[in-house]
Amino acid sequence: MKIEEVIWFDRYMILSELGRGSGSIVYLARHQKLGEYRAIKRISKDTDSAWQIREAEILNHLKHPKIPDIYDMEEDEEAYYIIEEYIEGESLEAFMLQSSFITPDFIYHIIMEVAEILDYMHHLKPNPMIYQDLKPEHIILGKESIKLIDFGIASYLGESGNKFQNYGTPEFCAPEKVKEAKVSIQTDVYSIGKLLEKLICAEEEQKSRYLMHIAKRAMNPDLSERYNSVRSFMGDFAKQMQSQNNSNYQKHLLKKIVVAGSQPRIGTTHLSISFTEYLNQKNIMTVYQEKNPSENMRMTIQSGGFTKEGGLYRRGNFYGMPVYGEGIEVKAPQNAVSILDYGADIKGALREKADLFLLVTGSREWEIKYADFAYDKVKKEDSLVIITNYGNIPQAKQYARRYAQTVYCFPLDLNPFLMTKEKERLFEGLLENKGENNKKYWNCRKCPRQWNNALIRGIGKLCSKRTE
Amino acid sequence: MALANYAASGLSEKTAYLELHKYGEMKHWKKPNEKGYFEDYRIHYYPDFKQEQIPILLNYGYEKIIMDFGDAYSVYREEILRCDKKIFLLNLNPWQEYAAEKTAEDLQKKEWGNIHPIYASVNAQNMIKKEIEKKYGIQIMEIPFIKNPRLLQAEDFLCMDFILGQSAAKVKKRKSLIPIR
Repeated sequence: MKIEEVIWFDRYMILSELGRGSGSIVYLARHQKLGEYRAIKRISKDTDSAWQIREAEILNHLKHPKIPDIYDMEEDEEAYYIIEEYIEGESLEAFMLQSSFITPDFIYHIIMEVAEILDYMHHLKPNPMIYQDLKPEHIILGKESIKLIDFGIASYLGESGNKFQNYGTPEFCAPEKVKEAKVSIQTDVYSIGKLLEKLICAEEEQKSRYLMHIAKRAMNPDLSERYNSVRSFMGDFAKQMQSQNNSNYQKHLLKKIVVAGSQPRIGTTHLSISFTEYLNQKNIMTVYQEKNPSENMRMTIQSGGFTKEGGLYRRGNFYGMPVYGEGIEVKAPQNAVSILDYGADIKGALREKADLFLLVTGSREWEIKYADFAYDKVKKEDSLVIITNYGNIPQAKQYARRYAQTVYCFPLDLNPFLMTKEKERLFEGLLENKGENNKKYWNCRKCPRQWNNALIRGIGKLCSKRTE
Repeated sequence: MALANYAASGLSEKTAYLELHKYGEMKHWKKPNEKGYFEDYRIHYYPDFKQEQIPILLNYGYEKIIMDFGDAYSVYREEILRCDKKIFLLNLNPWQEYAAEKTAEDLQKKEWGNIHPIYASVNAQNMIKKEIEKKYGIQIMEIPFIKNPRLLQAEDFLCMDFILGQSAAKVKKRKSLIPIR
C-alpha cells in the first residue's frame, strides 16, 4: 500500500513515515482542511500500549509552548492513533554531533529553556510532574524555541515522592533511580546537570570551571548537596552566565584608560600608541587621545602616512586624536575605548575618572626618585597599574617589592605602531590582570619568543636532541 | 572665523584674523589690547586693521593670517593677489545672483591677472550654481552651514582642509565661455 494515497479519519493525508518505536510508528500527515502538518503515532493493540496512551494523556494535561500539543486520539480494531503537533527541527543530540558552534550563549539558551519546562512541570497543580528522561535526543531545536518530546516515563509525583521503576537512559539517570530509591524533582535536577555537563564538554571555547561546578552540584549523588529545585539551579546558572559575560566583555567595559608618566619623555606616548594598536587589532575600537602639550601626535601626523576620518587620524589599526583647541569639538566614537596620554601631567591625569590608570616609570637609577614621587601621588587610584619601561626586569622587581604591587615590564621597543609578541603578551596580561594577588611582578618576556633567528633555532634543536 | 578657528584649534597654528572690511564689527565684541588685537581661542583678532600695517604683521611669525575683506575685494586687489589662498564667497540666492555674477566677471578681468580663486557658497541653489559655473567656467564649492564658527565639529573638517590644505590649489578650472577682455 502506498502511504501517499492513504487518508486517515477522513481528514489526515499520510505523507511519510517519520520513525518507529517499540510497537508504534509515527507518520507525518497533513490535515486536509487546515493544511497543517501533524504527527500521527500509530500504536498497535498487539503490543503493550498502556504506557503510550498514558503519555498521550499526560501531554494532553500539559499546556506549555515548549511541549508538543495533542490534538486528537482515535482508535480502530488494530491500533490507537495519537494525533500530535508536528515538530520541525533536529534533536540536540544530532546538532551536537554535527556542529562545532556550541557557544556559551547557546548553552545558556538551551539550559534555560529546558529548565523553564521542567520548572513548569514541577509546579503543576494539584500534582507536580517529573520528566525523568532528559537527554539531548529528546530536545528538538525548533526555529523559534526548543521542544521537549517523549513523555513516556514522565509521572505525577505524590506528596512523599514516587518509588520508581528503573528505566530511562542510564547515562542521564540519577543515582536514586538506579538504587530504586524514591524519585523526586531532584531527579530532574540531576538530569539537567548532566545535560549541562555534556554541553560544556562539547563547547569549542575554553570550558568554564564555574559552570562545571554548577553542573557537578546539580549531579551530586547526595540529595542534600544537590540543588533542591530546578529554580535554584536556574538562579545560580543565570547568575554565573551573567558574570561570565561580564568578564568576557570586561575589555569592552574599559572605556577610559589614562596613561601618565613619572617624568617627561618616559614613554607614555609610545606605550599609549602600542596599547591603542593592540586593542584595535583585537577589534576593540580604541582611540588614542593626546592630552599633553608635547604635540608629539601632531608631529607624527605631519610626518605623513595618516588618513583623516572626521577628527581622527588613522594609520592601519591606529586611531589617534591630536590636541584640539577650545574651538573644536571632536568626540571619540561612541563605544570606543579612549586612551588618554597625559604625559608627565599627573595632576591632569588624576582629574579623569579612569577605568584603568597606567603609571609609566623609568628604570634607570636617576629615574627612581621620580617614580617614587609619582607613585606617591597616584597610589590611591583604584585601578592603578605600574609599568616600568625599557624592559628592565631587576628594576621592575625592585619596584614591585617597594610598592607591594604588581609591576609590569614594558619591553624595549622600536616602533609603537608595530605589534610584537612581547607587547601583545604584556597587554594581554595587563587586561586579564594576571599579576593580581598571587604575583607581584609580571614580565612579558617569559613567553617563548618566535624562533625566527637561525642561530637560536639551531641551539633549540641541539637542546631538544640532548634531552631525547 | 571658522577658518581661523580651524587653523588655531584644529591645526594648532599661530593664527591671526584681520578685519579689513569697513563694517568694524570686531571692536564691539572685545576690546583690543595696546598691540591692536584681542585673543579668542588662540586666535589674534585685529579689528579695523589698516592696510598699510599688513607688511608689518607678516613679520610677526603667524603661521596663518586670515584676511577678511568683506565685499571690498576691489579695494584690496593687490593684497588679495598676494595671498596664498584666495577664497571668494558667493551668495547664490536669486536676489543676490547678480552680485555673484559681477564678482565672477570682475575676477576674470585683466587687472586680476590669471588668478584661480576658490569660489564657495553656502546652500547653493543647484540651478543657479550650475548656470554660473557654466557661464564663467568656474567651479563653485559647496560649503556646509557652520552653526558656530567658534566651535567646529568633525564634519566641518573636510571643507576646512580643502580650503586651507594643498587640495585647495588643485581646483580644476573649467574653460571659460566668455573670452577674457
